[in-house]
Amino acid sequence: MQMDKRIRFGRWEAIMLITNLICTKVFLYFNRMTAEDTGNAGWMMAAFTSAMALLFYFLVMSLYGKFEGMDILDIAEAGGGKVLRTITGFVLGGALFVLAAITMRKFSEDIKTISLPTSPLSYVMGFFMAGVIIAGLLGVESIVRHNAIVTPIATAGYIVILLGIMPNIDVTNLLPILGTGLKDILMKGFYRTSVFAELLVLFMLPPFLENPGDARKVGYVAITASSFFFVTGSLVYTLVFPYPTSMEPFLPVFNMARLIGLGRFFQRIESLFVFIWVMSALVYLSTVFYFGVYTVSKAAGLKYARPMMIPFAIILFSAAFLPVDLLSVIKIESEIINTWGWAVTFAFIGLVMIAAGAGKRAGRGTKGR
Amino acid sequence: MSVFTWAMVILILAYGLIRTVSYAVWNWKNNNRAGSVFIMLVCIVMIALPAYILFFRT
Amino acid sequence: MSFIIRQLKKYLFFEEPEKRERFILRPGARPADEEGSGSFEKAKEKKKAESEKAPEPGDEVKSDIDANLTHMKDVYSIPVNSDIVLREFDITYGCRTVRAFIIFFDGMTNTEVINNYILKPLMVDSVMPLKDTAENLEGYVMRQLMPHCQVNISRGYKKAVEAVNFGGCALFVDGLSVCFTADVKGWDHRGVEKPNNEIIIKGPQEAFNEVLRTNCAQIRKRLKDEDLIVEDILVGRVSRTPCSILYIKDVANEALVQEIRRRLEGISVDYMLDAGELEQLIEDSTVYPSPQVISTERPDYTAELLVSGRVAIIVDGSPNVLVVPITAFDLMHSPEDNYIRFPYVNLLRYIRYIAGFLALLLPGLYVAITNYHHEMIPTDLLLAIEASREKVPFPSLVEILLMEISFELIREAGLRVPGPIGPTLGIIGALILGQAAVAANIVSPVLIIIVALTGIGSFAIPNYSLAYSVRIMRFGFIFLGALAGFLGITVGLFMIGSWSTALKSFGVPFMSPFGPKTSGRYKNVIFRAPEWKMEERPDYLNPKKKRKQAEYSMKWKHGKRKGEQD
Repeated sequence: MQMDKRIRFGRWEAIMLITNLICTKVFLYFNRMTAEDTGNAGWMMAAFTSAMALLFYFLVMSLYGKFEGMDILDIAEAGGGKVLRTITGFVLGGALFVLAAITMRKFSEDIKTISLPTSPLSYVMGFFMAGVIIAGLLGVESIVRHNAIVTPIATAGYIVILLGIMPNIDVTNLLPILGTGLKDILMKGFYRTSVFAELLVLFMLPPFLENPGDARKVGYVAITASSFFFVTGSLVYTLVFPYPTSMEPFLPVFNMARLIGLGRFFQRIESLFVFIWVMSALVYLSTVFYFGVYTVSKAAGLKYARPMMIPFAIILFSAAFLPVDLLSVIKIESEIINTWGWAVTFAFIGLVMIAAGAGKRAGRGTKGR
Repeated sequence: MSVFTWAMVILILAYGLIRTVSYAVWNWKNNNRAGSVFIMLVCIVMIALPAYILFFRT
Repeated sequence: MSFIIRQLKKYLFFEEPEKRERFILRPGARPADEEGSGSFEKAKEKKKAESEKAPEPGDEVKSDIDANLTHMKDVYSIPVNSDIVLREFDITYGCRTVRAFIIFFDGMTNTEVINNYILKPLMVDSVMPLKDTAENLEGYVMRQLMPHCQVNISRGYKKAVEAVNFGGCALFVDGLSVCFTADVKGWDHRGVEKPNNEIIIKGPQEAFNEVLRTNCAQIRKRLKDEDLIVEDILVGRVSRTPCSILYIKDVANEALVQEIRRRLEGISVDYMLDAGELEQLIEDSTVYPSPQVISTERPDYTAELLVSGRVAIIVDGSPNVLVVPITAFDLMHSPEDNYIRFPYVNLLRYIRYIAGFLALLLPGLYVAITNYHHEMIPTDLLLAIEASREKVPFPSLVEILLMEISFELIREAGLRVPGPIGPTLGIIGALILGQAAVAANIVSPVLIIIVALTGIGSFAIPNYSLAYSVRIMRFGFIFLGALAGFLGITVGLFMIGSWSTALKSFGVPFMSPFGPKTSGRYKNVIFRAPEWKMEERPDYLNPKKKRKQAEYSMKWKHGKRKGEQD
């Protein structure tokens, strides 16, 4: 990656990037998913999941120590040579692609439902795609900086929704306090650490960081910040919607925004939030897409990732059409991605790091960026 | 699908294909055989996937 | 045709990108071997070497006056060229008479000065006995016979010609293989007047004019700092337009100054006549809509930007001064922001951002809402809008394009129309836009309000060039709004945002200090902190001195009064 040699960015940008990646799903489905899993105790599950993610992250990072400043591909190469490097690259890139494809499909379906009901899905998706391609061609610098601008704005919008919804809160919705039971919270909460799957991007970031040692810190801060959004999101969602209603398969935060009414005049301001959602979705998609292409290209030993943007964009666009309908998308999302995502993000990465640590060649070029 | 849509699809695919294949050729010339093969695979997927969506899926 | 094929080939087939070294402005403290550090010393040595450089072979001034005469006549196409003046005369040196001539342009020089301080001493005073007979002719002319403050000795024709072309007077003396050039500029020019375009209520009311040195002086008289460096560079192979790079030596980042020097020296055009042209030749992105350079006609604003660590470029013959580097947010600042009190300036800033928002997005939002998001509008308002649109035969996109284009027409026509006809245009415009279009049911009254608000919004944007870019982008947003409502507009914003974040103005990311984040975001970017709180220069400029105020800039508040007890 000759082109990217001099590109660097700071800790704040990295934190915003990872936080936005993880938290976009709050807009999409996270609150509904927790409600489905554990009933009224969704917020507890969110808290448990976040705690688990922190623990997993801690475990993975404790293996990362001697590879400071290297991304996961270089680590894999240090441990298992070119073969492991290629495998890691393809697994990571593939995972990111699946995430991007599903999220794009989901977002497009939702935007279609909200504001463009008569347009075909491909038309709506075309707009997302256009944004993703432009951002991909402009490169990582632009994407990361855009994250640093959009994430705080999206956060502000999200907090406005939470505040606006306050009058609709009913505390009795929290009962029974443990929802469908402690077992669900713990078991499903464990699988749902998959919602942190986007941490994968973090493992590709270190060479870009101004201070490579920051990577560890970035992860911790991003997970903590995300857990705040997850917990508040599901808590407020549970407080507003009683249990059976909360499982309605539609944008949970949008549903909350719909309830906001400020006097007789401002009754339907949820459309305004379309701006925020589409913006954070675009930033999410472009980031995941860019890093997907970057990872795969790097694993394949290509010098430039840029020429691969267009073919991969076409693949992404087609892949997003593979699920037959919205319900199958939701099924894939909930039963595959959010159940087994942890296997890639934490288990696979952990294994790669263990392999690299065990590899005889680990000493070679640990600092060699 | 309308004629316009077809034209769009074909144009985009053709453009992507030509450019990507030329990148593969460049890689081949610069002694990155594996990378070149990988790009060609990506090219095949790039054509196959839309074709599957458009023609073979009911 | 071959051009089209070449372009097609370029976009269709992959070519390895050219390796271009991108300039990134990094903090001033850099290792000595890197480019940029110590560049000031290097520039100093370069200038010194340049001034001492021997002329190229064939360019040397001859000691034979006839050869010089023929050469100069040849260079200036005398006698075809009618405004060049070549005056031959004799100088008395000791007991012999020496032939000499001067050459200058009529109209560009002050003949009074030439008569009294060049010709008279040489022709008349030289008759008087020598004070120091030991002195040679060159020293005698230079030290005793030319009582003029700016005389240079040049050994090559090229420098002499350059000086004459820029309002100088060259003196050739027989037997001397040098020529004397005196700066006797005296062309007519505009005086220092009130700014025409950047009007403010409080603060200095002087603008730059077209004279390079007057403009430099305008800045120097404000800053009164010997560290303010005015570095001259000639741009244009033929026009040799003098440009000055201004910066404060102990504030501005040296790498930045070096980059500006590099860009100016790297311009290869025949003629460069105005700052507007120079701006286009040095900016980072040609197609990006908004300007990446501040072009101002106010010396006070330039001085303030210099103090913050930026660099100004003055072009001779242009009343606009370019200041770099800038960020997107600087374009929303007005020179007046410094001169009015903290609460007012913040109010004005908000209003400007609202204005920018309206000018950019309002028509697009209108199209989006009327086409896709009816539910957003409260019912009563929706009824009012729909009722007013009922008789309009066009879809809202056509309606708004019609009005926007007429508005742009009026604006452009109003700019070009000769003064006396101006009011007529206003009447036509107001009638067409305001009355007739509505009465004829071509457009709805609500739309008139939209277009008017948009227009007012774009006038409230303080930077003239930015207003242009907003006007261009507005049409894009209208189409995006018509294509996909809010989704389209957001995608448009995302694309512009991506482009802006990828852009740099002279090594400074265009969206800093927000993307990337640097410190001082809440001092003078969107909001403006109180004057005493502006302690530091913008971080993204990486100036040599970070601080520009003491921590307690209002010492009187913290110190004790004289004679006051504890």
